[in-house]
Amino acid sequence: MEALIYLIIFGGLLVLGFVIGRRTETKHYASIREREEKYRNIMIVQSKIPPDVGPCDTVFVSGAVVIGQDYFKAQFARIKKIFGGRITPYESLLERARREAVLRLKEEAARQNAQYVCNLKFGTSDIMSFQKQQATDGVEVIVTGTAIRVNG
Amino acid sequence: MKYSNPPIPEGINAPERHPMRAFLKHLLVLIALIVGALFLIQSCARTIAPYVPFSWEENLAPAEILAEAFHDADSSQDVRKKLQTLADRVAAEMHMPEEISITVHYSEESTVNAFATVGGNVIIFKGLLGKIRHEETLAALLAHEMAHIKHRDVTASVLSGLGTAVLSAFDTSGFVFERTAYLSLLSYSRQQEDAADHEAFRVLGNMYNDVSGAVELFDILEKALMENPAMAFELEFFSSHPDLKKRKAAALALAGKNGWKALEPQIQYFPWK
Repeated sequence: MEALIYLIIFGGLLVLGFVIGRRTETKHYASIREREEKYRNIMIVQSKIPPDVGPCDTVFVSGAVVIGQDYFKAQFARIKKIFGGRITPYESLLERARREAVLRLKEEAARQNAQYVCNLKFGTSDIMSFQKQQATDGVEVIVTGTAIRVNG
Repeated sequence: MKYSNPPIPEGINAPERHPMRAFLKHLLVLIALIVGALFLIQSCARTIAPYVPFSWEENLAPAEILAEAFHDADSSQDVRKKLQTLADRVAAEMHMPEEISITVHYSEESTVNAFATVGGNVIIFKGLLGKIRHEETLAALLAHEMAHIKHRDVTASVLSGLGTAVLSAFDTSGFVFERTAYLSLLSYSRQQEDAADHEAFRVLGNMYNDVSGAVELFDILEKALMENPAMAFELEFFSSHPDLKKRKAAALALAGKNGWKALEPQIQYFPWK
């Protein structure tokens, strides 16, 4: 009986995680595309030396985000790890986190009236549950850069 | 140098289109692998078990230690002796191998249960014994538990448990291995219970020409199960024992085949009195 209850709960959580996680992911991607379009005027230049744009001010900007994993993807990833290869459940998580962090950096740059951001550096951290050492509950991505505000 | 900021192409870093389909595919493959591995472990355990000297089992769980664990009061010694006398009769009828000795223990706990464990020890709880009114029924119970010992089911369980524990050390899937292993082992447990039942039916047939003791035992267990609402709806797939109705039907079928009776037990027996 206990096994049956456990299976029902597990199956229910999987379906719930899948449906809600999928919906959340779709909405987040839509939000990401919308804001990427909004901040398209701010150029990301991936070089240490700022671009030659004439007299300008520089300011340090950063963006950070923590995105949690839904139950379905967390269990899928645990099973995938046994077989090896690409852990595809985490790929969209990391992509969303990276793009969201860059957007937050751009938002900060926009507040500084900057037109460019250069010398981007990324940092990623795995948010693990201390109870289940093998599961990744989420990921944190932090991105830093130098915003350039052209004078005049 | 001119800088531009084109839209990022989608679907390169995260191309998974049908995650549920991929998940189910991986899950089914994993379950198949686990079931296969457990089948191998169980088969090896059942093959090796008869060759494990019974004395090794006895050393694992000496009867004296179990006696201390389960005997609550001096008054239970009398009951234990009566149970042991009947067990010795059943053992003779079962043609128990010489090296195997059966020791019956009686516990005054109210649990409605009995079980066989390592070293030829059989433990019967007061909760179950108190519901038994006939010698044939008690003989059915003892024969069933003793059949597990004769078939070396206990040894096989210990060996397969060790194998499963080693396998679980490599498990990174967590829940999948644990639940699959549990359900697989329940299936093997049901097979062992079936075999023990058939041995018990044969013993009853030979001793009393009557399997009604087994039928009455299943009735008692069914009634006890119904008293627990959670257990009343348990499906056979999730149980370590076959369905009680099927067990009764098996007893009656074997009785019909061998010309044994299956009406009502005749010999009234109250070992606790």
